[in-house]
Amino acid sequence: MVAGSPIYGIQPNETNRFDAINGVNSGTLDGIIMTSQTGGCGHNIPGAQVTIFMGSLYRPSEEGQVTGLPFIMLC
Amino acid sequence: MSNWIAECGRFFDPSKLRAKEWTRYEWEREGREHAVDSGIRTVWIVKESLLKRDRRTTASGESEFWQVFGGRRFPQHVEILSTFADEAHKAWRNPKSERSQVYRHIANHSSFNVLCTGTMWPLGPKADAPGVLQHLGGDLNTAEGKWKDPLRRGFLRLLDPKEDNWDITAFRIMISPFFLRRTISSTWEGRWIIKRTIARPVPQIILPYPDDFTEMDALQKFKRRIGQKNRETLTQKMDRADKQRYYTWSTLYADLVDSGVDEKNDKEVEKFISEKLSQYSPTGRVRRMIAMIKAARKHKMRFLLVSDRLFLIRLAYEVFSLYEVF
Repeated sequence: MVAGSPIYGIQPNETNRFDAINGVNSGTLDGIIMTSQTGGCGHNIPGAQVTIFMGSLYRPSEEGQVTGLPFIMLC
Repeated sequence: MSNWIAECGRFFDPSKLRAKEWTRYEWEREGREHAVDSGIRTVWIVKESLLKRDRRTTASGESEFWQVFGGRRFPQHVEILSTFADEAHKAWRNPKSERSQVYRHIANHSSFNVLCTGTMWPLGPKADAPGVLQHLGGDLNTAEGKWKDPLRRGFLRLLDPKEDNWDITAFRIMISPFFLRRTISSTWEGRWIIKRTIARPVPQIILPYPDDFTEMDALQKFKRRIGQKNRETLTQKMDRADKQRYYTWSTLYADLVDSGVDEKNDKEVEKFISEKLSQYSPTGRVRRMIAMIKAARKHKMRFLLVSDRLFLIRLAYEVFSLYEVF
């Protein structure tokens, strides 16, 4: 889980964020649930092959910024 | 923060350049070490939250960052070669903010300033240009910034809110000497800057499995429950659209609204979802999402599940454990 707010007790600190990102990049995690805002923070996640959007984002410019991978949009 | 340091490590020659997170302690330690010149220069990475003048926890009432950089005499002791500020489209929207003022103070004493963004001019060049230019080269209204006078006066004429002088072509020509744009179609010496192998693919839109209700049902339901006002602000429209969207992801949302749970109380919402989700049939969207995640795992593909709304993030988190997706 990568977000800017605590979710189910998971704190949005740098350690948790990097554990999640490194976990996907190294293959120890299957995936990450994340907010689009954290997706635009310059993290490199080449370990992920699919991005699923739970609907379109309100701002097309933001959506364009966070979509750097092969992705599928779920309407 | 550590992401930036790790990325710098990939590109810097360690015998010449290193990156460090700015703290008062590290800054002063570096100053002492620098007296015995090691030949290695430091790129300081500064958290946006440090760009403050005031902090009540210090004895002087000033933030540690401002204690170092705030004084007028700091340029006599410190030479700033360049500044690089990321997410410039968001950070410098409000020139009256404290972080904006602190940043401009630093940038005024730097020889070379760079603003980076992946979302240039989100509100359009005319609306965003005054803030961006001000943070790049100083105030356009005075001659104290880095702007040369003919250009400064040209920008002032072009951006004058009282006059209808706006001309996008003129603006583009005026910023061209210091505007560098890189897209997937950009080349340098006959080569693609962004490799074709990692170029952005075309998105695929996946429709949900059918539900026994339609989006129109959801819309009508929430129009009746919440009541659509004749005149709505953009925020109210987005709020109404969100409620409709949440309902189409899980009909649990309607009961969440009825239950009186404070939607702004994250823990209450999480508790409600945890306790009640199993009582609701998964909607077509949820079933499709589960199928997609399972398919990705079957093909040993790792995934990112993204939403701009925390309710949906929470819902997905609970769905994963409830339906044993893993």
